[in-house]
Amino acid sequence: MIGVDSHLRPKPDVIVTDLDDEAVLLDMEAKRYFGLNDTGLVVWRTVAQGGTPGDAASALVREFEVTEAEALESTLDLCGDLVEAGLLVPVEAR
Amino acid sequence: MGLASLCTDFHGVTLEVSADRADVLVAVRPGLSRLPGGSGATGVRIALRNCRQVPTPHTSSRLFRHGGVQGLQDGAALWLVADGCAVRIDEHATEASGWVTPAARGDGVSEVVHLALLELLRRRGLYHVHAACVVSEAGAVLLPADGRAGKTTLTLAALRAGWRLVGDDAVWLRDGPDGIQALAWPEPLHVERETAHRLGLTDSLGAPASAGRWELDPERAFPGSCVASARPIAVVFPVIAATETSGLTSLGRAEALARLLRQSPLLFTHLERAGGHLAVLRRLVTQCRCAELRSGAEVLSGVLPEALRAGLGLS
Repeated sequence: MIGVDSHLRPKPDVIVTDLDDEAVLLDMEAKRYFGLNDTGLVVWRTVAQGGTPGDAASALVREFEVTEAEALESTLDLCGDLVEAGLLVPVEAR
Repeated sequence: MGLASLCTDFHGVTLEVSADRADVLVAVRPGLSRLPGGSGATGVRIALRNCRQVPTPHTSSRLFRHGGVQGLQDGAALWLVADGCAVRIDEHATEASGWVTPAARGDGVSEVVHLALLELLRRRGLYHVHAACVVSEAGAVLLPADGRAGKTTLTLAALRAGWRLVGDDAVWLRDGPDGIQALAWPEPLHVERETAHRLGLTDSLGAPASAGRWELDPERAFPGSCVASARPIAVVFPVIAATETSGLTSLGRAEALARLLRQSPLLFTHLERAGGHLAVLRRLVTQCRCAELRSGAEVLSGVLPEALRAGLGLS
């Protein structure tokens, strides 16, 4: 279960190709790829730099015209999809 | 030591295939026969030797299956294996070793060698993409697609309209000072008889090819049409539509890149090389307009879709 304060990290062997405000994630191990739009890229960058889904939602509120509730719902949905796809890995709390 | 070898030039990279059995070279020769001879210092090499049983990797995971060939990862080495034939390519190597039994089928050997050359050429900065490429006065249009998506029919329509040809099924991409260039591997087009009939090209058909298609020599049917390379200005993904006319829809770069990945065999074979491969595809979609073309029946009558010209500003 991914929550507001979850910690996630990109799975090793994932190559990120930025295309201005979009990106494609390439999972070399699973041999799959995943496209990210502009909001998805903000979420990915925040989480990959150690931020939580809550931090990513706050970044979305700052950069796009969305409410906090909308941003959080979208962020948790995307993080769940990326974890399910194996592109993000939950980091166990110490 | 090989009994004999084939040595050709592919855009400045020497391709050498040697074998200690003449019949093995006979099997490989057709795929290389249209390339000029070469003897440059920078190249790739495959040495094939006769054996009673091909060696197999000890611990391997399957990377892909392409036709009758399996791609296997054994540590850092890539193995390409078909019945009675195998090629091993070590990490960072630009030379490969292969084994062929007397029972191996010629088409299997040819397919393994072809895939091995694709991987070795990646190590020389040449990246294969499953695409047609046609050239207007404004620049080249790359048409990446699965088989049966209408690449060849669109290519022939473009040639009839006076465009020129880089390739109708496979081109190579190379990064350079002027951006990404699409490079040709000269080979005949493979055309269905019905398509050739509709386009008035039945007399240009040559020998039977595979999957119910016939060879068509583009230089014979459209003299002066073949070019060695061109700079793409557009990447258009064709799909066949059940309509008379055609339509063009713009694509975002991430979507275009994701679609290009599907047409880029061997992308997943090595993490380090995948980065370079992706960088070339990224630069391609950055330098090009990207779109999906829904090809209507008009293409079958040899009409280059107006949607393609107008949508890309090529009129």
